[in-house]
Amino acid sequence: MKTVIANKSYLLVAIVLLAFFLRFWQLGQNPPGLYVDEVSLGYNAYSILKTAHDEYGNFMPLVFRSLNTYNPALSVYTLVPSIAAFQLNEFAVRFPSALAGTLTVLLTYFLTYHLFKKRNIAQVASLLLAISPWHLQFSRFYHEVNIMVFFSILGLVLLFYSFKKHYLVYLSAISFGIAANTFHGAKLWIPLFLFVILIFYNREIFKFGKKLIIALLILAVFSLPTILNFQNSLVRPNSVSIFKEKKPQETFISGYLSHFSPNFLFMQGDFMGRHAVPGMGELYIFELPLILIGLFNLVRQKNRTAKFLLAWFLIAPIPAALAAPTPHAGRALVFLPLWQIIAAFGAYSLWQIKIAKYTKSIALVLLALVAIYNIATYFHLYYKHYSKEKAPDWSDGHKQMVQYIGQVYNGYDSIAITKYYGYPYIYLLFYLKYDPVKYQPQSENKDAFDKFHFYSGVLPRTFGKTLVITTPQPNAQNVIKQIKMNNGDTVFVAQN
Amino acid sequence: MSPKTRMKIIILLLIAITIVFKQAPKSQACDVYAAKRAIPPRIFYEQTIDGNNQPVLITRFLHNKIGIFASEVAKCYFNVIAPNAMYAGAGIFGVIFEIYLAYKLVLWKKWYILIILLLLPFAPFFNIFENQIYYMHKLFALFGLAVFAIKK
Repeated sequence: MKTVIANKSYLLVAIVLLAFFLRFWQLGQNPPGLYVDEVSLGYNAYSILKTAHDEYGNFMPLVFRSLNTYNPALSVYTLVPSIAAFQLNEFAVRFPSALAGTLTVLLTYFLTYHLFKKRNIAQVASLLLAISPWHLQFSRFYHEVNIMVFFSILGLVLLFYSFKKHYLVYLSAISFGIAANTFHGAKLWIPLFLFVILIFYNREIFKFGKKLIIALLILAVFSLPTILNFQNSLVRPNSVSIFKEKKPQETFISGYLSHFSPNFLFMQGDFMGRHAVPGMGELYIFELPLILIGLFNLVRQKNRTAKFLLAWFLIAPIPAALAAPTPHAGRALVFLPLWQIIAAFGAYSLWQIKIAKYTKSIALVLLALVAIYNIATYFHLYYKHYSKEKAPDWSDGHKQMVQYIGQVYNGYDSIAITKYYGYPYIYLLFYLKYDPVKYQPQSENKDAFDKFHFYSGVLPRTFGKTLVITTPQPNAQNVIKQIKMNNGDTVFVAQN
Repeated sequence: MSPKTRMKIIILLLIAITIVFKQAPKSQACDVYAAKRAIPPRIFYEQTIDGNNQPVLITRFLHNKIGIFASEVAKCYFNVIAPNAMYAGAGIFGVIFEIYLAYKLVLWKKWYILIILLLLPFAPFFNIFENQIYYMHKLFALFGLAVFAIKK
């Protein structure tokens, strides 16, 4: 503790505690409901925990089949300890992402400190990431990209520290290897990022000698799951690829540039409801002047740190630009914590400008006022508006539907549920904590299990007394229950 | 003139041609009237979500006419200066040379020119040069190219 206070690290501790609080507070309730991908990954992790097999009965798979696609293995395995500790619920599914988000704030400090050797730049960068709308959004639900960002930043920090302690290069390679197995975009991003790191830090990296070969072997081992399941690994990337478009090169350029759009960054954010809070950009508007000053000074400096950060800045949108739609806050999350580092450097540069103290004070007070208003608006929008406005984007109502079914389950011979919203089966498995041993043998049939039948359009043939869960219809008869989202809108009705 | 210089001139001319002949799209309506019209429904919507339980002071502080109008103005402005707007008006070389021009103006501390450059995108907001805004990108990109040519 004495060392912490002596080094003035208590500020860093406070920043990390703030990051922890902002990521964990009301984690299970806001966003309001689990999105289908979270539910699927969560149930597969539960299945692995209980049986060492996934929902399809595959033993410890290296690539997970899930909702007509295949996901990198670590997207599921990172959830297993959390589900073991907290049971199968919303908090457990989101816990790894919130934890990774908090730790990324800490890593941002070490990364920035290594790059600039200035404690105050590192503190500002980590503080900006702690309160970043973009990073908070992705830390408060389970999206593999947030885990990838954490492991890639960990890999980078370890690599920088390995220049002095060479053995850390193995841990760095392991981190990058894990990152490559968390998210589809990582297959492109991690090699690209490593290539850029190699360009600017080759002098130190080639000093590793034999250790470098072992590190490369570690990376090769981690690339095996992708190579061994190459066809399956391409299912998702192919479905969103821009190469199906008429003019892919034009789509790529406009997609690439769209990630630098000030409206995307500072005013509106991503249009996908899960990726941003309506009325907010991905970054705060008060960061705009700091980013501009930071960028200008980086370009002017021309040292290695500046060149490395600018190269990162230029390659970050590439994975996102190769897919549609754009701009995409998720696929472009690899921009973090770069924006915050640039803004922190901009703030430092602003502080260094030699102008009258009086003028500087006025500028700082104005910036602080805008920042306070901006931050207050964001938290108001997130905690007051978001759960009401974007409830449908989070499949809110599915949990309530399953809870209702749980209450009346014994009173019916069969239960028919509409597939209008996508995949009701996985919500039933998740919220009923359905025994994976019972489900795995019948997993190929996605139209029925147990006494549940899933239909789109025409009702399936059922037997005995049937409960029908459908979407709200005008003049519907025999409605025995309206199932509502947290904002009060009806999402399902139960009919006899 | 050395063959190397001749080659440089040809390349720069080709770039200038791509900037000039890039087909500019029609600009979207984003003006002061649209911004004013957006205020009442936005305030109604935000107040409905906030509900009656929230103190009026907080609602007024976070969702007010000035804030909403300013955000609409900012959206219109950013639409015009976005890299995608530069690309639509002047192509990929246009984007590069417009940013280069802005960088050089800051570097040389040509604040007055920079202020003009930054204020011009407000013109379409007041229904001035609405359909010429993409030509402005061509013009600035050509200035940037000229500065680059002189420097190199």
